[in-house]
Amino acid sequence: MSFGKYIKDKIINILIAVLLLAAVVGILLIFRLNPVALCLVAGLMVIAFVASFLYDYFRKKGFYDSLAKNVERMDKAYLVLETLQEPAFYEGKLIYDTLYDIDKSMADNVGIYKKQSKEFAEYIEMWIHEVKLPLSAISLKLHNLVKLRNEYTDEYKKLLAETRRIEEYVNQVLYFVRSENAEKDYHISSVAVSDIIHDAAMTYRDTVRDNGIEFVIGKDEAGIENPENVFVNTDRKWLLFIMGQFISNSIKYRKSGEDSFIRVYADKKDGSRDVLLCVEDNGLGIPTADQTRIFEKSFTGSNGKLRTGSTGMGLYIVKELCEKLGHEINVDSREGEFTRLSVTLQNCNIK
Amino acid sequence: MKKIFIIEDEPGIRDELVILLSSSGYEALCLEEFENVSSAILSCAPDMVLLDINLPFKNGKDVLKELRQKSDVPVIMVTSSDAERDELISIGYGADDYITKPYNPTLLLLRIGNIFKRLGGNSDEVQYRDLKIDFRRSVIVDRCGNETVLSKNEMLILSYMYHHRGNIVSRDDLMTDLWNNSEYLNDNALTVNISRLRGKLSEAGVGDAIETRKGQGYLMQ
Repeated sequence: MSFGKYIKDKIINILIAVLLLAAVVGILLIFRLNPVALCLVAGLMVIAFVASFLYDYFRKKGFYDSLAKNVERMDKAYLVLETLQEPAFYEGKLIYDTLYDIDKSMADNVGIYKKQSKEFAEYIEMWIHEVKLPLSAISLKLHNLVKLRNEYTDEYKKLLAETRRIEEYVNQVLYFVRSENAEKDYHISSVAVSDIIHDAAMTYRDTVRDNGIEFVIGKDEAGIENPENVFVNTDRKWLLFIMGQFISNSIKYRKSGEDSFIRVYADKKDGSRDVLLCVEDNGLGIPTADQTRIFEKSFTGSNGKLRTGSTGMGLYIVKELCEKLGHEINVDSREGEFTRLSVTLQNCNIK
Repeated sequence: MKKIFIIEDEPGIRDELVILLSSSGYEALCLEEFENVSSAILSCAPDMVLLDINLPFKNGKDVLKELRQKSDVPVIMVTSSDAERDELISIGYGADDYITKPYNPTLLLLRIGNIFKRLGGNSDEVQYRDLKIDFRRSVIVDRCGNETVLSKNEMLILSYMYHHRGNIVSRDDLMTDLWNNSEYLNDNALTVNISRLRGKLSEAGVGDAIETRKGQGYLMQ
């Protein structure tokens, strides 16, 4: 609360006080009061006015100053009331009570949406578990048909591929819901890097193979020699989903008419205990201009526009999950040559 | 023949699981009423149970808990929920494995096979015609007692063929088994390994052990 502005605000009060003083002095002059007494009366009046202004100023200053300062300092300004003491003066009380009512009504309103979005998330999770039942039945049926008739025809391949696509989209929704409400369901444990690679290899082997792509696990040169001795604290399922998104991008953006490969491997970062979990391909690559934006929500980029089925959500969800796990996500690519998407696992435990 | 009991209330999945397991050399049984699951399991005395978590009347975790008081039969939990706490509870109650739907049928079979393998029953050494196969030392011994050492990959292939003898094994089945053992071969490498294995088998006097079935895979009688 600035004193200057306070005085300006009180200009009418001051004017009245000055007029009153002038009137009193005038009246006393008419009655020819002793000049000493006159000065005394005027002086006392001035002191009384100034004192009452100062009292009023300092009484309010404490409350308004901390209100203004705390609102500015807090990132959740709506909680400011919790930091203040209820003021002793009437105006302050009014403001205090009104703020309380406003907060409460806002909290109620936010509560309605919170409840709605929580119920929606729960419904979606339940729905996903339900929809996985017919999907399981379909993929089992297809597998059995292939096995019993002993022919793996293109028809089956197509049906299997489409079924897997549905599964992938369903999973994407599940992890989107989870990334938005992350407190709920994750489980951090110490996992061997080799196990993560193994999970990815086994889970996505059929998909990669049926797309006519060579799936290579591990790296010939460099890389980590013994990924089974490197442990990282993470959520295994989330990481598997992340690798799956990388692989599915590599499948989508492969070059046609060329021998494609997807390579999954772990690499060391020099001079640290960080390990890079990489998915590399020899596909279309990502234009430099797009590289910084591929993790944005709904960004499809120039590659995405070439084909349908790009939602721009996959890598966004990946980024959200990585942030929650405390991993870093990186992209390295040259247009027309290769793409390498990787997750940096910090502070691995090398045994 | 190993007996596997399927506890699954979703008919579409249950029927396909029965077909899958029966065509893979197991005896598959299933349940259609779910009021007294654990006593049904006990009275059927299976070699393994595939137990769904979401069951009517009583959920799979509670069934497992009840079952474990009376039996040590291996149990694989199967569920469409991949909630972490379900998995932790199931393992805590004594499940041997935990698989999330929709699962890859080949992987399900491998995991069933793994559990049986882990429980023993597969001896370290078997006699196949004139050949002795020592799985533990990764060695084959011919009629005269000459030993030939097999590489890890060759042994995995031979072991898979041996345990599926009488059935046609596709290249993909072999590949899946190798990958499952963290040997990530490609197609060419598989061909090389099979021909090397055949070479060693024929030196040991059983060159015809692994037949090729064109377009289908391999067969060990």
